[in-house]
Amino acid sequence: MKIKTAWSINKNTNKAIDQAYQQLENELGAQPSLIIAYTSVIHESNLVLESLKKNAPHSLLHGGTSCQGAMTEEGFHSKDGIGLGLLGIHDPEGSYGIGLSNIEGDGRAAGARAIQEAIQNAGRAGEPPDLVWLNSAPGLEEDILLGIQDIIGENVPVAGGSTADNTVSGEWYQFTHQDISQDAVVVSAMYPSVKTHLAFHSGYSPTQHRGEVTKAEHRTLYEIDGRPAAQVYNEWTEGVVQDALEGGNVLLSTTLTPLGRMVGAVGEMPYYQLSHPESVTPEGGLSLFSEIEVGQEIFLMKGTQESLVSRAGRTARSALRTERISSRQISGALVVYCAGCMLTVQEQMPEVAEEIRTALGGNPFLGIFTFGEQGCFIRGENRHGNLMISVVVFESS
Amino acid sequence: MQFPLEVIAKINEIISDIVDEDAHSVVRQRLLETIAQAVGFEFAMLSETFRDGNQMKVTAIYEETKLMPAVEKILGFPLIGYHFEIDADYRFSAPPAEVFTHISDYHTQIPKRIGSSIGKILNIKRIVLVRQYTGDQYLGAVTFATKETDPKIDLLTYLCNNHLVYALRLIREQAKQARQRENHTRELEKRINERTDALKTAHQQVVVSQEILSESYIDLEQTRQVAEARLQETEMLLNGLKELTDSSDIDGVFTSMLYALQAILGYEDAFILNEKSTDIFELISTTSSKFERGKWYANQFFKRILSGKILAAFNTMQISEWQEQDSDICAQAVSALHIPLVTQNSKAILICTHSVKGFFTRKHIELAERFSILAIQALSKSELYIALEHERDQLESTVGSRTAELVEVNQTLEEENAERRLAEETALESEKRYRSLFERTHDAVFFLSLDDICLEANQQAADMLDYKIKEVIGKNIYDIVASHYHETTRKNFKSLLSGDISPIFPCVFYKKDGTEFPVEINAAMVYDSEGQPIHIQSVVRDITERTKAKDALQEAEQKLRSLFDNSPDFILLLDQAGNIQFVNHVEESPSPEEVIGAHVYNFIPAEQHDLYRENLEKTFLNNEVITIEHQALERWYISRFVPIAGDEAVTSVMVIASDITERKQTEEEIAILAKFPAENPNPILRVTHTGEIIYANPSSAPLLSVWNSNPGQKLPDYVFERCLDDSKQPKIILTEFEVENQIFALSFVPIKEMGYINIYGRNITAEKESDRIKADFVASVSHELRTPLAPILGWSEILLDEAPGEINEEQREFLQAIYDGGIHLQQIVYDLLDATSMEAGSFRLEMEEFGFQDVAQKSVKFVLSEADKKQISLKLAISPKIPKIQADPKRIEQVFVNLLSNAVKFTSENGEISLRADICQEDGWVEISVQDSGMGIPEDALSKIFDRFYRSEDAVSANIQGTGLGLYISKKIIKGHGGTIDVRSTIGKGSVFEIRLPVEKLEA
Repeated sequence: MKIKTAWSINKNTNKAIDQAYQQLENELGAQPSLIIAYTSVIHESNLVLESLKKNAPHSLLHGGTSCQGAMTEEGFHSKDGIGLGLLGIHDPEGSYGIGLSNIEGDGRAAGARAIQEAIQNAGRAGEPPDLVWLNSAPGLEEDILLGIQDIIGENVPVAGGSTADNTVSGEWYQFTHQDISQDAVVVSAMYPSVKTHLAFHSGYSPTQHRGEVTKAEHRTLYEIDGRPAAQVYNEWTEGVVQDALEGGNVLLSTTLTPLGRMVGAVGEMPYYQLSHPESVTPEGGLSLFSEIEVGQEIFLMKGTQESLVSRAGRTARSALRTERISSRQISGALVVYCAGCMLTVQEQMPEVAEEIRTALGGNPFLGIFTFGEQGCFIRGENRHGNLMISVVVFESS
Repeated sequence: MQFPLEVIAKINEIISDIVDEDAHSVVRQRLLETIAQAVGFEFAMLSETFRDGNQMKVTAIYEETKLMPAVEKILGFPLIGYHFEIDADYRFSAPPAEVFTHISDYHTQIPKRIGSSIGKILNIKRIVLVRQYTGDQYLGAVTFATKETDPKIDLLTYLCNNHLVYALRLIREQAKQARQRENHTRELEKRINERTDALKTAHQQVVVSQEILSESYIDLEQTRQVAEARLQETEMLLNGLKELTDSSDIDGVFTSMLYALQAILGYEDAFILNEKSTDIFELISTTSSKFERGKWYANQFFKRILSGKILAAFNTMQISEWQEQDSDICAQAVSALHIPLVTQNSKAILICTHSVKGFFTRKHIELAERFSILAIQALSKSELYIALEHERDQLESTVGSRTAELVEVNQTLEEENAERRLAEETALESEKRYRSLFERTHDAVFFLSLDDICLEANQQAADMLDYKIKEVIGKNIYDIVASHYHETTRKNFKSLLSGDISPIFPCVFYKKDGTEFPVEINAAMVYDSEGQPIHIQSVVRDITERTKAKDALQEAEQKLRSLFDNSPDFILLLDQAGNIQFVNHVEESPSPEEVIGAHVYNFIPAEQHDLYRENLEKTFLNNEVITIEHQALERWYISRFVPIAGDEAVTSVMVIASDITERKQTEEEIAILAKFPAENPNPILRVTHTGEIIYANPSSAPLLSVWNSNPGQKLPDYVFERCLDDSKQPKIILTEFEVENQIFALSFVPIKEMGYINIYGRNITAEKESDRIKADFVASVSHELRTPLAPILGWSEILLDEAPGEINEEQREFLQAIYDGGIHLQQIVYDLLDATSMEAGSFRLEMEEFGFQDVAQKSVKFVLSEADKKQISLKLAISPKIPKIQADPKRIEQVFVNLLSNAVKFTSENGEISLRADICQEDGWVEISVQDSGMGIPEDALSKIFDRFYRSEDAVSANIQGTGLGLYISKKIIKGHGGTIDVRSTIGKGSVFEIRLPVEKLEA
């Protein structure tokens, strides 16, 4: 098993891909079995796919868009909203299969179809993958996860992120070596020859503010404790959304004060799934990037810029620590970092990349910036969350 | 001049409003207005310095016409607050108020255009500039302008100097304080902000730390849970292993495996498929009967498993091997975990199933991997066990057919074993006996290798040599054998090797401390079963005591032989027939070898034959000693016949024949002499040891008369006491008694064995008289000789000293001869006198304490010149251990001089003479020797040399001068000191005179 990464901030798509792929192949020493590619939306999807297929006609491709660019062990790669990153896996003893399925409003079915296709393509019919790598258009990630679990059960770890654009305007897209879509789920069924380790952390702490969801529908939180959610939220946050109480985008201003639900506990320490308020609805509700249900208890969560910067590295360390492996024992990693957090700490992103690099011992990793993150919580449950960091580490052979 | 008070009061009131910064601009304005109105100026402009005084700012403007806003509009800027640089000339030391009056040519404080503009607009006729100072601090200036041509300058000056400047100063002070407060406030704010930032940072860090803590806690908890899970898994694995190892047969192994895995993996059902033939599997074990009807064929999936992979299936329906099974099986076994069990002999797959889709995860695979290793080992063990069982069965059938053969062989072996055991027991018994003998024998036993190394030794051997047994073993025998016996020993051992009979030979060994002792070695060769020599057995006996006894016996025999041979008597041992068995060797008789075996009659006169026969017979018969005296060949003998008895009868008779011829003669003489005392003219008495007179011859009468004693009575005490020593025991003594003018010399001779004392007397009256006459004669002659000697010696000495005058050599020679002759004669006289007094018993020693060394040195010096003439070396060696002694130093010196003089006389040229003295270590006496290398003294002269007037023939023939008295006198002197003097001499080599003196050490 060998993993290498490459990147480019060249605004010329072909040149960027050529440059990055050449670097990748040189460092791998062989054509990669699987290429995982992420680019900012500035690079046109067709060109990206065409160029990739031209450079690696025999490699499997799993790709999508990432907000502003990407990061690798060499840093944060984005310039003027342009950037792309590649991760190549050379693993002749492993098996990999990719599936793409358009969502078309039914995430569950799409997820199920995608995973079946991926397993089939991997030549491992009936065998559960060691890991499912997932990227999809934002909106129905929870259903997609259910669809995947319908096929392979709940015990296979799923990790990934929702493809993102630079302006939250729906310009994201997903692709494989066979297809491109703006509303699809792409999964890789991975049967690597080495072990994998995952971590899925939020890094936010609950405050004393909590309430019950009294009115909600899908991803819109209308009321908390019987009162307009935006108002309650504004009170909790001492006016973070004051200016938008009548309605408007609050994505950036709420990055450090998301809402959270307790979804489990490790010992006596609960862990939370976060929901990031994106905008205030005309009704005074809050539009979130994840599903919310009536009756759930929600907390106001609090984070800091410092924690946003440092927790990426900590999450990577956590992936190693649980299985007591050192950074010397890994070949590479995939990192999903919330785009909202990235935009909040954008100037400090080089530090974030450095934190991850240090945690992974300088080994190759590809980090993407997403509008939702999927991962496997501590107790083995796969979930979709916001403002999370998801890390997948591949051991070395 | 009169100043308007109301103006002043108003100004003061205005000044009193200067309370804070907010009032300053109003106050300025009002002041300016008041002063300008008071002095009649229509326009006034107050400019104040700020910062470091390099700039000015317009701070107030008064104008009556209210045209200033328009003016400012024209100018394009508001005048109040207008800054302008100060001309260097503008600041100068000047009195507090300096008043200029300029008319339309004012050009300094304000730009020209402003001034000209104002002038034109306001129709100014006169401009007055008033500079305001406080100390040397320039506060600013006020510019007054008027249309009038004659303003109230004095009032203006007064108001500016006394009020305006004060107000400006006050304003400045307040402004300064306000700035300070502001700065302070800013400083405080800055610090507060910094603290706030720090707190924020700390808060952020705390938040981060809390996050880290939470994450760490979660990690820790996760790790703990993982560890717990691992522990549980390990326990389950161990339990499973135990189950497996407890099973011995394959079925048991499989069953154990299934149940063990159930606990570990949590499956619902499981079964094991065994590859019956290529790609065809049969069910061999299951937890559920539903799987029994399955038929299994291997495709890619199973083949991958058999290659060693543990594979899970989240949906068995998608696996081709499962698709062959009944649908209800797959319906119940939705998930499956496939574990390969491949050994050398078999290929099997253990399949665990669960009804939940995707139940088996990577974790299950890892657990199964851990378990499968153990399972395969257990399986291998069982297979091995089965294989062994199969082999055992085969062996059993073979064994049966050979058992009969073995029984017969066994019987034979048993018989042989019995014989062997018997032989072993016998050998063991023999060994025991031998070992007992080996250990208990009194003799030392060594077993030697053929190269002379001691292989074994018993305790006696070790004790003999004062070694421990382990020290002996390994030793070379020739380290023990004394070196002078090596050759003998080697020769004897060599003879063993060549097959000679065992030698017994004497030898000498070394003990551990090196002392030698005699031994007797009895060596024998030991052979192996093939007749090859293997070692030498040596029995060694310490014959020290025997040798001593033998030596003692030999010595005794020799002594006896010597005794017999030295006996003057004949000693014969005769048998009953009279044959000689033993005879001693007597001088002038035949040797024993000639007579032994012959008859005694051959050697005794015929007339003695009957006597011998008779007494011989009697002795043999009666076994008693018979003594006879008999005469033969004119000699008398006393023969004693002594029986030598054996156990029962006399076996021999020892005849001891002593020649008593002389005794017989003596007896006759004695008989004759027995009459002598009565006829002896000298008194002869015999008294007891207590002084009682037993016998007194007739010649004793005069003595008895004087003593008033008779036979049977005691001698007077004063007489008897003379013969008693200090311990009142009789002693031999010669003493004199005077009786009636007769002098008797009495010799008391105690006969201790008889218990009496014989007293022999002799009348020495005549001798005494003769001695007296001789002594008188010698004294008289000596005196007569000494009288003329004195002047001869004296005058010759004076002449030799050349006192009267010089003498020539010839004269000296003559005079010296005279002197020497005189000395010699004097010495002869002295010697005669000494000899005479010694003879008469009147010689006395004058004892005193003196040092031996001094006397010896003086003696040597006396003879040194004579010795030098003959170049004789003279050595003196007196031991410093000799203490000061009590003796007559002059007489001792006389002795030394006599001996040394004789030595010089009798030693030829270049000879050696020495005088030595030392303390004898044994008795403490002083031993002195005078040794020379002279001509020596003939042996026959040695006994006479100390006699009076004796001179040897050699001395006479050599014409050596001497009186013959020197040694006589020396001996008397030495004897007078209680000492002894002796001489040893060898003709041609020299003589040694040895003196021993019993000196007493003086007490310290």
